[in-house]
Amino acid sequence: MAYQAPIQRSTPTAFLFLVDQSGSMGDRMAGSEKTKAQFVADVLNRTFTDLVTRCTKADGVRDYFDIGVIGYGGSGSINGLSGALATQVLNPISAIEANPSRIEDRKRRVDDGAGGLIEQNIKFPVWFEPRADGGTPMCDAIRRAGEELAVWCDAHPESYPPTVLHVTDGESTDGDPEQLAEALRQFSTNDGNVLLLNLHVSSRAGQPISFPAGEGALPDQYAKLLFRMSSQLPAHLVTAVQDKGHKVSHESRGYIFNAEAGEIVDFFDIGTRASQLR
Amino acid sequence: MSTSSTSVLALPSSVKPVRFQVDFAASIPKDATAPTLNEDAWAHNDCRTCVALSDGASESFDSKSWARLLVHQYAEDQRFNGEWVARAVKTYMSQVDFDSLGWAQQRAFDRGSYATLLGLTLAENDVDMDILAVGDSLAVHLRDGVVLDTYPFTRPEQFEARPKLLSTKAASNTFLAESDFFGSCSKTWSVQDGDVVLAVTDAVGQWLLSEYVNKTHGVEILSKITSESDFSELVERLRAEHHIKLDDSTLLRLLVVEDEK
Repeated sequence: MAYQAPIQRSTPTAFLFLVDQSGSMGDRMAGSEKTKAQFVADVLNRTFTDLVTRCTKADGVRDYFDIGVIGYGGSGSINGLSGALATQVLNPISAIEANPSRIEDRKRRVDDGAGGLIEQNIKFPVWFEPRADGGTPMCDAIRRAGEELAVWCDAHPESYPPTVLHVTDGESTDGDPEQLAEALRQFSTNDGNVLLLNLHVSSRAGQPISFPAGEGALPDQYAKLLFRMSSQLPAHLVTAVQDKGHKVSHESRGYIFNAEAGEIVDFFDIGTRASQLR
Repeated sequence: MSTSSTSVLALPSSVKPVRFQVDFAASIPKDATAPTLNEDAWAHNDCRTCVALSDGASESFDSKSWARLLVHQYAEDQRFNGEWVARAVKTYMSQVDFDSLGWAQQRAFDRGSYATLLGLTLAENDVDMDILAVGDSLAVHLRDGVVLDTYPFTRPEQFEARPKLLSTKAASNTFLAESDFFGSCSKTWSVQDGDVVLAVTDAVGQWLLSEYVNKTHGVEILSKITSESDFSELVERLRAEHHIKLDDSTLLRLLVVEDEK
């Protein structure tokens, strides 16, 4: 059965984030002071932090995951990470832990245990900076993701297959990405095919459509295209979606249309729920 | 929960003191190349009337230390209750210098460490054995090779549910305050000289119960295994055949014996 491989240091899995950095990502999120690019960057940095935390033990960081970001916009598709992490797209999680581009001191409000809230300082590491300019070279980004994951799958035949989390707010400006997405999903390890999950980010208030099982309810050809580009959810991700309170079936695909803040957070959380770490 | 202690006056005069004899103990790490990362732990008290087994959860900051702390504290003091857990948490916290940790370790520490606790205690009446089972470590009671009972589970599919685990985070231990909790995690078996008790962590436990319900030979195999290398070979084979989960795998085989002292 697919998607059952244990995730351990000898057989890590990979998460590759494809992030639209086109000019329209500079528009504000509905009901927020932040732009879509800022919001996605915040959630992505928080996701990195969570992944590092999951792998951190008293004796160090265990390399259960390889992580990378491909950003695409006015400069084409580029490695979204910087510094020591810029030399290759996929980096082991221990290298991610060791090389945030900076660490911000932020404040958070937490329960004081007596019914009130207190402010607490917390370190917020940053790896990925918001960026928004130019067109939407989605095909180039998916092609580059394919090149990276073909090599990765060859090197990790016994691993849980890579998951690609793609975030976009617009239409591809360099051609039709459907065939390239299909080719990307065909790369595989012995444990299954690459999973491609797509998130459409909205700047308008509207009803999100989460993890649909068919095209019927989607409003336009572009939304339907992203649906067809998305992998069917394996069983353990169906469970993860149900845990978030979404209605889902075994035909559901890894796609959220018209996502607002809550859906973006859920998408990253669900998409990085590979099976249990060992 | 306090361990039960039936009045000695009610016992037949022929009852002699009993103790555990550790007939076999071995733990096979999930990663054969890194045995020091094994997060299962066990301990017994000096007079061998109590044995405790703990399985540290994989996604924890330091479940190895937490599991060790739990079994040693239980071997010394079986009066398990909320205060008992709070004392264990306090000891755990005192061993960590939070400010010296890096950002990732601070966050992982904040997330907590988690472990099961299976406690087996021979009561003062030398007839009862009290079991405490928090989480999915399993005890099996055998007499003359026949399974009399298993606890806390009787079916292999029960291992698929997310177990309640003891945490270093007080907020994660609120289940201890549930009114029926201590009733739901304890049981008493009547034991006698010659009985065998197997104590295993979840991977072995799930396989063992599926062997038992399918009337195959798992119980017999674990009853007769005599060397760590044989147990290791068995676990490695079952892992390769996908009959057992890839996890730290511990087997304790305890004999109930009359104390000759």
